[in-house]
Amino acid sequence: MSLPSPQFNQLGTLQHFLTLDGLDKATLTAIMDAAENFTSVGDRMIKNVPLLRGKTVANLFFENSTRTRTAFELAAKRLSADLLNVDLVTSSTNKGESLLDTLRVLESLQCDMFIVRHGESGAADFIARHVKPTINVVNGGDGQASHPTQGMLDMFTIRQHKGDFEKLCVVIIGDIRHSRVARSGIAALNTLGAGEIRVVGPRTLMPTDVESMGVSWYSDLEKALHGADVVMGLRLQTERMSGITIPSSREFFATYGLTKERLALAKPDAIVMHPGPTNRGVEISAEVADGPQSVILDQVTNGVAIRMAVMSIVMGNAEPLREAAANGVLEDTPSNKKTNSTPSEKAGSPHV
Amino acid sequence: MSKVNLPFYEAGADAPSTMSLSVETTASPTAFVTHGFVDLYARLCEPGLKRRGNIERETLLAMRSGFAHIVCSPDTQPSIDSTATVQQIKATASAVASTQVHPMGALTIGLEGSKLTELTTLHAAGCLIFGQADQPIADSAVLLRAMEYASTFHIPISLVPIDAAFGHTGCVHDGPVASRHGLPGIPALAETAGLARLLELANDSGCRLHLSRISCARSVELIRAAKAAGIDVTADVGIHHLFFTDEQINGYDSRFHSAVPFRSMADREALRLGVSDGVIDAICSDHAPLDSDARLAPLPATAPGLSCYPQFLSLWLALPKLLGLSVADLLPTITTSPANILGLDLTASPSAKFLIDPDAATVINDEGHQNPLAGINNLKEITGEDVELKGSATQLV
Repeated sequence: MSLPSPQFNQLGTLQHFLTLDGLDKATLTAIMDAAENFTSVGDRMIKNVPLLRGKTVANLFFENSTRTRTAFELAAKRLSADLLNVDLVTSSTNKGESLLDTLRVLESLQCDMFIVRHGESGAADFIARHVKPTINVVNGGDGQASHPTQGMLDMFTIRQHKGDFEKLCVVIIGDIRHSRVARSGIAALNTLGAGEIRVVGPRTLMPTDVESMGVSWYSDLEKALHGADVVMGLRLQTERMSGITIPSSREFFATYGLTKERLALAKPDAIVMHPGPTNRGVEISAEVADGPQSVILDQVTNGVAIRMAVMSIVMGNAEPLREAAANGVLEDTPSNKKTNSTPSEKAGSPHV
Repeated sequence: MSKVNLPFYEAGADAPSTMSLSVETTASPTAFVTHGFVDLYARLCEPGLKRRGNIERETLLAMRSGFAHIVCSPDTQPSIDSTATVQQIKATASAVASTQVHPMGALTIGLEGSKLTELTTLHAAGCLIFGQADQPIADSAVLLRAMEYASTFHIPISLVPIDAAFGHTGCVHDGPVASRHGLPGIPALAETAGLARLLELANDSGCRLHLSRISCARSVELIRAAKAAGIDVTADVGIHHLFFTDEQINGYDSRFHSAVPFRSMADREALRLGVSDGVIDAICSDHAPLDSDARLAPLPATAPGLSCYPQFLSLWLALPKLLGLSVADLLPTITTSPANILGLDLTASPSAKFLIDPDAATVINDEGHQNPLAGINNLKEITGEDVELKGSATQLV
């Protein structure tokens, strides 16, 4: 009874990459398989492939970001795309121009793909519903809602180190309530059939009815860590916390900080992940972040391969639509001015 | 022209009388005559917000849904805190439609929650009831004084129960749908904590308190208990809240972004039960027209509110069947109950009467106003519940 997802185009293929909620296992696996092929590109003498040659990718960051923006930039360059970095944090959107006006301007610059980061939940979804049908939108993080490429690079890193998801016990510690990384990770872990997903933190950092998201809530970190295969820390989203959620970062570390002693309660071969930037001494101790079980830097490296995979897949999926538009068969105008006139999602499992 | 005999549900009468009418087209066997409806809360957007709607358009739409009296909310620009604004609204309204517009007076100047407006002066100018629109008074001392002052002059106060601190942080019901979508939520507790406070203050001050647009199950229970304890309190619910839930915002559907959020299915069922057993006295439209740009932003950044008048009658006519009641059982929710809250006498002349034909075909036409029901004739595609949208209202001359 809800609005059909705008992720799929009229051909039933993945046009936009907005959220992992609703994508099936085959789709997630195909993205990881594609990323597998891209991991070696960075090791070559010539670090690029011509898949997106002649295409223009615009980084539209309405919110500050360093690592996500850099990873997308590098991914676009390794795919040989032309890249436009638009700093919207200090740009026209602060001068009263509406989000839609900004998009129309950038559409007129004949970009093929928008990478979007925005402070409002649902912003990527909104943008995808309002761009021309030939444009791809990739969500680089929207509000507290979704950060799907981060979710995928986390899954890819887990697969590299642990293989099958079904037997895994994954523990996610900290600020679930305000975290788009946690939402995307939890959606993907559920789809990939993870054995058990535990979220740990005080109630103030848990979304309402957190169990409805397919996880078990633990208030005690030490109990939660028993038998864990994967331990994920999250950055405390101090900028998204309204009011009081924790008394102090010192108390948070005392109660929920991931230390060497606590990590010893997990399985001996457990891996430690964190989306970064890490607040050492707040969510994680330095010796764990830099320790032998940490795969945090693997996550960073994998971030480029995953983004190359996502960008090349959605760009390829939109190619027939671009050709149709070029031949005048497809009307090259915004697909739906009204939210309720979104083209229906095609029945059956969508193709990647 | 043909002659028909129709039941007339007259205010205060135990059983319907028979009214003989000449009608141009045949009325269906279910047709009846009633006093024009009374709406306790609607936004007419004038003065100051005419890009969204205006008195002429909204009152004509209301009349087509059977309304004879509308209380318009005070959150205009400027707010309804001076006799000049009251007179301006009443003059504009009387020039365009027979529907009577009763401006709700702002309880505090500029709705800012700090200084009382001239309640008796505004009352004399035509404000039958006073309120704060969607802006709660955070300071309990101010609220208590406002209630005490109003009770001195037997002036009723209509407030939406919302805790000020909770109220402005979210955009949708705080539940599983909000959690999954990462949308900032408005917990049911924001309403019930605010409501419990209002009940205590009303009890202490002796104020005639009307609770406007309640939305959750726990509120129904609190009001039930308060009424049983003898507190002078009444309540209404927005008609959309008897049909929609938070499931409607799935996929970030901002057309269902409402200032008082649509809550869980259990809440909706409790609201229906509250209407059935009379704990909820009245059903209001909570009509809030929007301009076409209002929804062109990510959901949390959109303006809240749903246009309601085009579908009010059809939705209300669906309720008897859904609640297992008769039309006569439910008519007080939109006639005598709200009239009593306002101190209106529907039997006094000249009070408009309407011929309501529940089975007449209708088209919900509300182009450009972000109405999620525009152009549909059954709620099934929205809520999954088979609710046919039909019915017409004709004012009798």
